[in-house]
Amino acid sequence: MKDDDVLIRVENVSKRFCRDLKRSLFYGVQDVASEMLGIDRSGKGLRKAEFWANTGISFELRRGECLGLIGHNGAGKTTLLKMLNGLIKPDTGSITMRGQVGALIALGAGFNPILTGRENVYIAGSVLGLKKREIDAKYDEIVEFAELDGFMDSPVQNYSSGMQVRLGFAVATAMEPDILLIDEVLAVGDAAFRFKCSERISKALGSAAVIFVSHSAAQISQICSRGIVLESGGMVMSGEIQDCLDVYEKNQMAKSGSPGKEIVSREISEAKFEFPESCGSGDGMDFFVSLYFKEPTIKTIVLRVSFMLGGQSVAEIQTVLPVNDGVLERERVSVRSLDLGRGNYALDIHILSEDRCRHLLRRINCEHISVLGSDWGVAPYRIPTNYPST
Amino acid sequence: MNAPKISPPAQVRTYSPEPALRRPMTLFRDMARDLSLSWELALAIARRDLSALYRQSVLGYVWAFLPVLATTGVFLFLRSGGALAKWEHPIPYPVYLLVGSLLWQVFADAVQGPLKVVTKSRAMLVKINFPRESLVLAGVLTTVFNFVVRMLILVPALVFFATRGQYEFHWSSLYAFPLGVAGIVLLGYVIGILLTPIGMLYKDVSMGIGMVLNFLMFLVPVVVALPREGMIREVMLANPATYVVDCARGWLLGVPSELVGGFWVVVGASLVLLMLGWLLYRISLPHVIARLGM
Repeated sequence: MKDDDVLIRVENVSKRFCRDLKRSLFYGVQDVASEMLGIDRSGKGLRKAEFWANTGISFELRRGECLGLIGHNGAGKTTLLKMLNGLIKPDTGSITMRGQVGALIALGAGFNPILTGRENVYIAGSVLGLKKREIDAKYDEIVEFAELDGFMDSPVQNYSSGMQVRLGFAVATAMEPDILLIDEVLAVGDAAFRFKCSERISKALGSAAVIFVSHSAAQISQICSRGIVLESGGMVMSGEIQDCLDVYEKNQMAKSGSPGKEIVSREISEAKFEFPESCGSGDGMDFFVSLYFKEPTIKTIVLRVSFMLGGQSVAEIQTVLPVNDGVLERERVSVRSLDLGRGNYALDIHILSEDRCRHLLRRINCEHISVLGSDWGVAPYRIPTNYPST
Repeated sequence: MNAPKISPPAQVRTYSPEPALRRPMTLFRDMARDLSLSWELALAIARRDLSALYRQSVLGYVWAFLPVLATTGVFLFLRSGGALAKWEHPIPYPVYLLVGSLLWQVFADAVQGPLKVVTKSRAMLVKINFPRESLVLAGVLTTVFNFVVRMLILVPALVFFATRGQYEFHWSSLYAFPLGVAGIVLLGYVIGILLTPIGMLYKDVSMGIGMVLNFLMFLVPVVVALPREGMIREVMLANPATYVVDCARGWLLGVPSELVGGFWVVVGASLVLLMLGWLLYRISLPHVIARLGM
């Protein structure tokens, strides 16, 4: 692979920010004065109330590659994108960008709400470097992609956020840049729009390098081949997108997981569940349920185990278990094949009365299971066929 | 879409903490390139700002000259009632005042122009990379446009004064007056650009400029004429705006000002400071943008 093809090179990049507003403004004055006097402040450490929004970020991106930028809110993804886009200067290291850069970093940036969609397309186009006749040539294509035919002569302040992001994305990609930077704006669009965006990005990959930020594991794994994970400004992982998503999900779970909640009805004196820590996708799995009731009146219970991914229930086990004299002693429940895709699932356990009217136990976010496999795919449930899935 | 690009991309940009001044050739080349890319964008932004400004109002462009007419009217009224000292200038007072006020308004617009347009484009600045010279150019276009609108009031006024024998048309005005106005706009913009970086960080600057411009109008020969001697004369002569306003007015009305020499000094100094201001604007923007928030 020629070195020519490396469109983005980031070497040991860091950025300082200040928490306190007044101090931040003063540091701004200090930074401008330093630069006007030719002083390089990169070797210096943190001033008072400063912190590192990004530390030691390094990676390379070639034409045809799509990098997924993953991290929790506040990890420094947008700061990194702003540095790549040349809006702010890094405090250490260097960034080299080759070619034309197109960025979609926020909704409606550059859109003046009073002006119409048409007027804003021309302005946004010239901001991105297109001449008027170039915009004329692309105008119809932009309107068609954004599906805003008939709305182009209304003021943008009447557009919904979905309409705005459609227009913004259409304009940003219309110029066919060498490098495309997409921040988490796409989350605002509906599913149909996100699908169109994925398509267009895939097409653009033929002649561009793309950096894509999203919290949707499904979308990222579909579009990106590589990834980096940011955590509190630092790069904790760089490599295959699957591995990155793994690390990210584990960290997310560790953050949101605790504390778990449990609500137990008075009739139960003790409950214990033993789940394996991990299981292969499509493999069999056994787990154990132990329940001790105060009175032997309840003869049958319904056990429901929900597999949660990103707060959503994606699969569940529902069984009817007989209770012998008020006791379930390490009852084994066997799953023939756990047809779930690779991921880290939280388990929500519910025990209900036989008629399903009463909740006897609710244990949320206390148990987890990792499903191992070689790929993420898109949907959690894997329908088994007579052919292997990998 | 199109076939994949095969030729290597032309433009390479490097971002690092190194001060831009350490590579002056690269810096100046980038500045020249950005300036050349800015014109079409400046037109689009100026058009956006002007149409947005007047679209939601009923009176529209009338607002460009209404304030000036109002203050002029008040001062004429005060003088006619004997509230102010006797007028001894060759140019009749109503003409002197009206032209002076309009020219001062152009100057005030020019001083406040850069900070205003950059503040208005704040959302764009923190999200998109574009040649920022276009913002200042757009501001100049807006100021010039507003000036032309104000001329629309000036022309019938001059005709009116001519019929009363208070004004005489001179052909030299046609080339000399625009020169004078250019001097006013240049001086105003230089001051404005130099104040823009700090003005974006601290609101005090824009509030302060407004206040200073308000009372400074009385310390230039607009409402009163330049005295022949004394402390007021010294104070007025220390203000560079005095030279550009007085000369522009003199050239329009065919009564050349005594300050023409000073005018050229002010213009020369402004051109030098313009380069400094441009440099400061360019170098400071990334640092300011970093402090402006997401």
